[in-house]
Amino acid sequence: MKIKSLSFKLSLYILTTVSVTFVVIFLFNLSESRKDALENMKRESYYISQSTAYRIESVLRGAEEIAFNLARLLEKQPGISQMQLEERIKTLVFANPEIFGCCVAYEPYSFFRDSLYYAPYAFHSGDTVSFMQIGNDSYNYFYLDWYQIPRELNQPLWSEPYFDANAGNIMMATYSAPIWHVRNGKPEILAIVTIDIDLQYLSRMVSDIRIFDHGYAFLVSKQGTFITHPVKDFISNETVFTLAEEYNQPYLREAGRDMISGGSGYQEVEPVTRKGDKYLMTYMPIPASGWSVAVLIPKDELYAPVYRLQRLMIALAAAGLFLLLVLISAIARRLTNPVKELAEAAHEIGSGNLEHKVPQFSFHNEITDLANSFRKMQTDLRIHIAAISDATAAREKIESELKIARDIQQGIVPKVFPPFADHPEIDLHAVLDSAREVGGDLYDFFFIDDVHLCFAVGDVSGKGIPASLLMAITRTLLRARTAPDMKPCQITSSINIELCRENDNAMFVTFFIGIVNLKTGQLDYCNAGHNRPWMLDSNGAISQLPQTHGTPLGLFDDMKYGCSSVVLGKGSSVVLYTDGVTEAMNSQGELFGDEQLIEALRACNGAPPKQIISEVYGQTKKFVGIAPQSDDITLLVFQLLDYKK
Amino acid sequence: MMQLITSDLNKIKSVAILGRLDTTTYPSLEECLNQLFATGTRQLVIDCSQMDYVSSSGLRVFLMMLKKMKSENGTLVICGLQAPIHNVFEISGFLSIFNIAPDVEKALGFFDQTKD
Repeated sequence: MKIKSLSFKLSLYILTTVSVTFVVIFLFNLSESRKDALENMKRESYYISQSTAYRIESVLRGAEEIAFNLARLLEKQPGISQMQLEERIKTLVFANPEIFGCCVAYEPYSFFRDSLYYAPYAFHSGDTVSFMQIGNDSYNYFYLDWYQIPRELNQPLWSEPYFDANAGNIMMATYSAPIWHVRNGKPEILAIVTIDIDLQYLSRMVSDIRIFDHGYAFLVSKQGTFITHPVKDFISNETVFTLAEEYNQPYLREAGRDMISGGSGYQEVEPVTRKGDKYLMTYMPIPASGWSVAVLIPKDELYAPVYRLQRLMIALAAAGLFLLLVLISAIARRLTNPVKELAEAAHEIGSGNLEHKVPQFSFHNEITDLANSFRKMQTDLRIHIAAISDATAAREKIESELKIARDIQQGIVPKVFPPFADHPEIDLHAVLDSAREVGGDLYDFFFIDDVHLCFAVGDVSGKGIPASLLMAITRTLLRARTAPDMKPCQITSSINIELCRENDNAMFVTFFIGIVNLKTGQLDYCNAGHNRPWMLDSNGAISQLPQTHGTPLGLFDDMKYGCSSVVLGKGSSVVLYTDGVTEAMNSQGELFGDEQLIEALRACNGAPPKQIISEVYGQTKKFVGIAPQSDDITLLVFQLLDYKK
Repeated sequence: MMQLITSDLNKIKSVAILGRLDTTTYPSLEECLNQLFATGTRQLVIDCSQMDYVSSSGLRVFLMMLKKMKSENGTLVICGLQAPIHNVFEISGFLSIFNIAPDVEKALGFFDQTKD
């Protein structure tokens, strides 16, 4: 479909806007939520690592305190018996389940003068406390780290984790504290007190930490060795640095350096135990031992709730958008359906069916206004078209009447020129140019007998059919009432009496009639209120036939018309015309007038009638120009070339 | 195109024609004159001093009115004919059948003669 419907466009625009808005809000919210989740988790993992560090610290501090107390006790009782010492160790171990074992390892020959080794050792074994002497030739503890390093450094310290194959067969870490005594006035180390911590015990504390599905925690020693780790193989075998090397993680190495120098912080690290997203590692030192605890949280799991919320939001938004789409479509349809109906109605009306019903709507809004305007337009159109039809009909009626009038007029005047081929002694030409509203001009000419030629010009008052009918009647009367030996005035009177009958409208005809004797050149004429004709002599003189003999025909039946006569010389012409010539008007409202007529006639000296007419008529037309012709223009020129023999 | 000014000079009415009296304007003059005649006017002056042109249709209205007035012993005077129109009246012989005066004042003389 090429034309997108209004409802489609509306839906598109609104949904696009809403969707874009939603996406922006969604992305902003996502970013903020992730930031929030990260912050929360950082905070939480900080607390977790802190509390874990505290708990471990308290275990270690406990162990240190036990070692310290025992060392002070033994310093105060240099002469303690073997039994007392061993009993005390056993009691101590029994009373402190958080420590694995306790040993007091004496310097060579310090406890027994005859014995190189003396190191009583008590430790948990199941539910009971076992006891053993650990010093012998195959276990020369003097060179072991837990003995030698604190002795050399002259201070207590925690060992690196190690596997003790001697007593417990477990992974352990040992706190060693020297016991002092004074010999020969100088302080000397008498023995090393050790407290063993079962790393499994710590491990349980740490591995209890479960964050999401794959979050975990670990402990590292001050050299970065794993003390606890969910992967058992790493414990005491791997360090943070070996892992960083193996998995090519410079960030882990960096964090490791910070850890062993007692720092705390956060670091993003790649997972090493499983595939997946990065981990957020939070680490914190355990000051007692210089160890560090680290809590690792997989970021994908950290963000899972955020993502779940976002998925829910997307689903809700999609549902909302769908609902919006349905709603918009419904509204748009509700809006456009009436418009569509109107459009169809408009099409129907436009194609000419003016009676087509414009839809009515039950509601009221702009659409109903449109429909009302539309209905009004339809009514106006109907009225207008009816008016136009009437006007057209009226105009056509007038036009057809005018055509009839013109047909009557043009059909009645003789139009064959030259008219008398068998009379070479005369020439005659005439023209009748009907105005649009026919003026009722007439001319006629005929031989009464072989010698007498009658010619006449008339102008009926008024226009249109009445004028043309009266003109036809006048012409018919002229032919009917003309008889040989009748004078023009007799003919005129006869026509006048006839025209006066039943002429209540005072229609009248100005009329000129002339009868010329071709043998003598004598012209008898009668002028009933008509424009006076002009006479052109062969020598170029112009004169007017001066006499008028009464009012126009049809007015007064008792009017007495007289006659005048004049003798035409050879080559003379008589020019008959109607006021259509002298009163021809141009667009400035000026009349052609007598002066210009005379001028035109002067220019035609000796010319034949056809040329005279063409000149005068041409001048008239030229004068009128573009102005509409207001009256009929009639010209008749008779020329006597020679007397009839 | 054409304007008519009707004035009341005691019992005598006058109608002044301004502009062109032709095929398109004569009906309003005809209506005006018929109205005056119907309401009893028998002494009427038609003032043509500001009439520019008259066609045969206009002349016919004058003639109609003349006939009506004559039949009721009334008097119609036409005054103030301009030269071209005077010429038309002359040619058509109307000068002899109408009472013609040069202006309204002179026209009133016709009534003084006929009345009293």
